[in-house]
Amino acid sequence: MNADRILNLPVPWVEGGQENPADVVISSRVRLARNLSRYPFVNRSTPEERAAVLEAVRRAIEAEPLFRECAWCRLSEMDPVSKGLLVERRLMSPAFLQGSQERVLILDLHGIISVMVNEEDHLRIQVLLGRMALCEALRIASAIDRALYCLDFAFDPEFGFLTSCPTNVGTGLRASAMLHLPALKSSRAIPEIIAQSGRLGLVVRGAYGEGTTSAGALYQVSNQVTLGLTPEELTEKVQAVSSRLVEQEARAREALFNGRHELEDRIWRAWGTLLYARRLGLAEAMECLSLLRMAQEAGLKGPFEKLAWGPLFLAIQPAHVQARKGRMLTEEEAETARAELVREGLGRF
Amino acid sequence: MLCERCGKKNAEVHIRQSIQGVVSEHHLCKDCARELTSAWKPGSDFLEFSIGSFLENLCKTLGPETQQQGKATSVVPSCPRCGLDFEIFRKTGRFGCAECYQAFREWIRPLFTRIHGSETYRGPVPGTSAVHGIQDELERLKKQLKEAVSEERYEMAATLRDRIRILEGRLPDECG
Ligand SMILES: [Zn+2]
Ligand SMILES: [Zn+2]
Repeated sequence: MNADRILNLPVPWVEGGQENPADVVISSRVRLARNLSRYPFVNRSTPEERAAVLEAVRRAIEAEPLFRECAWCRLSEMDPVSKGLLVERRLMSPAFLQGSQERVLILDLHGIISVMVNEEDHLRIQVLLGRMALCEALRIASAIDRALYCLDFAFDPEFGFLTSCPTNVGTGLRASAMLHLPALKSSRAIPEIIAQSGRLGLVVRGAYGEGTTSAGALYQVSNQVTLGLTPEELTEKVQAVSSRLVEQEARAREALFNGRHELEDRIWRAWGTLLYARRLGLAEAMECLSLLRMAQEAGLKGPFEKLAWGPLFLAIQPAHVQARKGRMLTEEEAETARAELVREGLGRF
Repeated sequence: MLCERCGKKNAEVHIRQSIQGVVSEHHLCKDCARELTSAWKPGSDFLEFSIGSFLENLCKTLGPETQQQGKATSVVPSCPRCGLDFEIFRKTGRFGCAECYQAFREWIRPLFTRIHGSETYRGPVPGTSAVHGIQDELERLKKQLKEAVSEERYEMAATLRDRIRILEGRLPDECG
């Protein structure tokens, strides 16, 4: 799998589509951690054992119609830019980049299902959908899980599915929703929300960049607890807190749009920056896109009405900029290239 | 990725180390990495990561009372299959294989209670449920689609149609 091929794969979680207006919930993801009972966990296995895990997984997946259209990406055979693209498209974890020869990403060519083999656990099954679709993501992930039971997963009646790290034991499930919360961010409500969610066994954190000050106002809500509640209960919990945040965000936006002139000014400035800047840092570009997405959601009239947030959001990410230019770039070159790509992207309308 | 120690800053330093055959990877911010490496003493062959890490602090307190460091924990037998020593588990917070859970069962329940607020699994059990997940899902979606069309909710119908197409793309012909 090379960079050009990856760039041409669909990315359903960012592609909102023309008929669907922008939404506060950007994407929903469910991942299941599984291990094969016959082999030691990845951190304590030999290369031969990891290769045996890979072979067993290969046989199970080739026999499974669910995985008819998928690609096998051997991490050791991929260049850094291609790997960066997959991380930025959230099809694999940054942690998967480090490590052994026997790491393989099984990639569904529809851009929805991905399976990491020999990450922290033998299998990390991930389903990624656009908008709030956690229940559906869970149903797909569970179907894959059941289809792979022939691999004889490490399971204990008392503790459930056994994982390398005690924080994943039980369901092995991490359900997360990515939310766009610009109004809550600027009203400085996020630290309180983070504290509250901790008490509910959930985590809210910046999806990009540092903890409470996420670039582009993108936040991730996910369950921290994996044992004691069923997968459905955990998923519902994440969904319930997400919808509460969506309501809070709506109220905060009302307040923000009361000082309409100031906000409108910021939105138009963001539009101007994207149209005319000759150098664009990642954080600045993400802030501008965040403001314009909020303008779209508020139904503000302007040339930004038809802006396609998803493709631009991906295009400005570092590995995507490098991939389009086809070579490694210095920071300054990358900022220039990013500004060019954005202008090109906007030039279509 | 956030620093695994402070959970606040971006992890920019990535360390991979092997302690008695247990390979662990650590992702730290610059500040935490600096602090940990300055605490490292020549002669010690690994960095002590347990300081301040949530999980590893929990693990440190597990097991029989340790009146005399390093002596009392020997009453917990190592994992008979992968050979993981309980003392190493307490340091790294990582199991070595499925059998470790059996070997350390008595001592890890309190850990699960503290991490998850529970020590008992609830959820699907392998080998007990039917393998018709996708077909069920397809039928459910098709029913919803019919409803959406009859109620003239066309946007919803379009979304449902997309989902159906995606799922059908993966099914063998006789099932589609
Ligand atoms: Zn740190
Ligand atoms: Zn073991």
